[in-house]
Amino acid sequence: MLLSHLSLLFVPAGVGVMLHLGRIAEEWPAILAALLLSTWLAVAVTGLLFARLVGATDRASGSGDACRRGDQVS
Amino acid sequence: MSPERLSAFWVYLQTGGSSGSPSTLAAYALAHGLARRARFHPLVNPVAIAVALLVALLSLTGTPYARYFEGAQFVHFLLGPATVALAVPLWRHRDSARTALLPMAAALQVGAATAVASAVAIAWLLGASRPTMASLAPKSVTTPIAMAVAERLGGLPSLTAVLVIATGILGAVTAGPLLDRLGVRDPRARGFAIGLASHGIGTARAFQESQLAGTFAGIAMATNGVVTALLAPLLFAGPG
Repeated sequence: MLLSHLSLLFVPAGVGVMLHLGRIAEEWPAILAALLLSTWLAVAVTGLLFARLVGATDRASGSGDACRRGDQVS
Repeated sequence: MSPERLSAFWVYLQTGGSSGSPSTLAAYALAHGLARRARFHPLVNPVAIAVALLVALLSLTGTPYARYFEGAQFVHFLLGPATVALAVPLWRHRDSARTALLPMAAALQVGAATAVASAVAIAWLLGASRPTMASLAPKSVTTPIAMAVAERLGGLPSLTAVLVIATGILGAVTAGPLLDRLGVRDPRARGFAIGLASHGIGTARAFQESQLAGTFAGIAMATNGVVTALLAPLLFAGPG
């Protein structure tokens, strides 16, 4: 219950966007590109590496049948 | 927290006279209601909607952010203790966590380095100022840690808080479709990637996918906080 509403706790800090509208207006292309591309890169690298390694681990130990859907990746 | 501090806290809550916490809760409740009505479609993000509502409210009433935050501190303060609650699903899924130790360790280190280095490199290429780059470096980790790291690197902690939340929303909205396209279907891999790249907001999203994905997102979020705190100063020494 608490965990599914974890994002509530980020709202006060998020409203702080009001304080930085000037800097964001000046540097928004660099900020937006860095946020978008870097987030996508981090998700892709982490997800692909984890799925590949976890496929190998599950095969080696013969366990994790419930979680083998990731095998399509490797 | 000591009993004295706790009671001082309650006195503060009762006499603070500021409407920061109630308005935050009301905005979030409204935003969450919309998200539920949209069946938790990733594009209808509760944090983004609640922030937009509150910014509009504060602008219309001419309330400065500092006054709002004074009242909303209670909600912000819960961010720390709430992280402990992540241990519950972790314990419930301890067996599947144990079998994936090696993938977790490897993906954690490579992912953390990617998140920090790529953010700084892209901002640098596009001519961002040094304080902006320093504020971007820890964008993938949870707000309290990210603010401390940014301060150490010469960034602006309150800007970092905003960038962290923007990253969280971006991750929550786009990570699922991106992982679909990449063919990553294992819930553990999906959760770990979302939690590493977009901390608590991503973790909340991963819990909407499944308990298992949420658990791994929580592990990734907690461990990436530590790794990024150690790694970011080393990586950031590079550019500039």
